[in-house]
Amino acid sequence: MGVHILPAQSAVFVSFCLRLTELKIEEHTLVGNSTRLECKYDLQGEKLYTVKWYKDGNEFYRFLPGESPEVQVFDVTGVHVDEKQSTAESVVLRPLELASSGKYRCEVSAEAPSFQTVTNHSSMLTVAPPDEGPRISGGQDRYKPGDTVNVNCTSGRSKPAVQLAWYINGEQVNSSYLRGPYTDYVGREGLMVTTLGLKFEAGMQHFRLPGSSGHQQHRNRLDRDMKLKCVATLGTVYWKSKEQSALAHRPRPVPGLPLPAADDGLVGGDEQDADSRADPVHASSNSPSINIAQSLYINKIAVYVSASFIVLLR
Amino acid sequence: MVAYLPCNMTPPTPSDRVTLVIWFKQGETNPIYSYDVRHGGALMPAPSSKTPEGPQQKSITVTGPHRSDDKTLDGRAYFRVTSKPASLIMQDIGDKDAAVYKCRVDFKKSPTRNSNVNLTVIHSFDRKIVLCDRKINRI
Repeated sequence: MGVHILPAQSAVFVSFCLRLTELKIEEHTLVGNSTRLECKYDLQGEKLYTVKWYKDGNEFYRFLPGESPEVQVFDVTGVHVDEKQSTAESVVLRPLELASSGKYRCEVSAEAPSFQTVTNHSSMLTVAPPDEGPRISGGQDRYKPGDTVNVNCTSGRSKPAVQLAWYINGEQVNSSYLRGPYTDYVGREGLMVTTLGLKFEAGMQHFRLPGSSGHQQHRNRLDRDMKLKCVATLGTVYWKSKEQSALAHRPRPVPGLPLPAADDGLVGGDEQDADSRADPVHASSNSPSINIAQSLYINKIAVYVSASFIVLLR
Repeated sequence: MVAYLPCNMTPPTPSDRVTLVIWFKQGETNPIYSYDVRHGGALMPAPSSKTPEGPQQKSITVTGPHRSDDKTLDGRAYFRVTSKPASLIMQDIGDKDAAVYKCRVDFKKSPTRNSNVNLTVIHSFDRKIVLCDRKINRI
């Protein structure tokens, strides 16, 4: 094979070290929202040739300083670039859809002669949060020791499936009490409804005396109650809970104490919905210089519902 | 031993053209070879040779649009763009050359094409065994 190595001019260049200083990609984002992918670099004296962004190996954005056009955008499924908001160091995607989930890579190249190239990547999951909060079904207002508590918690439709967890009096339930989770697919988009059952034999240890809170004043001091709470979460972007209270059957009226204003027919079934910010989680990646920030939250207002004018505040 | 590392440089559309091809040895920031035809393939003026002292010195051989990293290739490679597919032809292959190589092709209008080539170095015979067998001459 006639391989001909051309005579060459040799030159020695000072080699600088182009560095990628920060890659910020939200780990979880919401359908319909927007996100800014950030890629910061230190050219260390080199001149910038190009910045390229890829999703799952496919280039969708290119920045070429001084060229015409300076910015090029390519069609990639699930990626909608907001060109006006995008720069040499960041790209805005708007609107996000389920197909926006994937591995995003930023690649920065210096000009000739070095063409030094640095790259890093991170994954983003775009989620469709549940259309409604978790619901509790099958509960009774009162239980006596020995009764079987058999309740279900069902989430709204979401993608991916939410994580459900049960708490009894604020303590997470161990798996021997749990049934499921079961996932049902609904609709064309593959949205999922998740159900987690809770089944156990009620014992006195599951009932607690009400605390000293002033909100308990309408209830007989000797009524013990059991708080059952179901929490639905989706990564760091969604957190919503539903709580139901049940009272222990009193074996007999206690002499000398007035009967409570609200008796069997009214007490119990206290419900509480809570919608809360999820705490930001900072995941560390392979490189200590890269921060992956997750910072998107939805509804932050707590809503309290009470069926019996008794509001349980924690 | 000569290795041919293929790289598809054909533009996805006939109206497009290649602007730059960069070859990387996997995991390295500095390319081992580049082919720069951003300015229509005309010969680039050779940069003036400067040899500043210091540990960050880097040696690059420049011939027209071809640039080759002396540290890794030491003049052993040439990117042949006239063949289909184009090939990085590496001569005097040794164990140190076994690696995954990445070829990045930048086009004027189309998305960048990245492809990996795994170069495995196989020894056709074990010279020690041949030497141990006295009936066979050293090949």
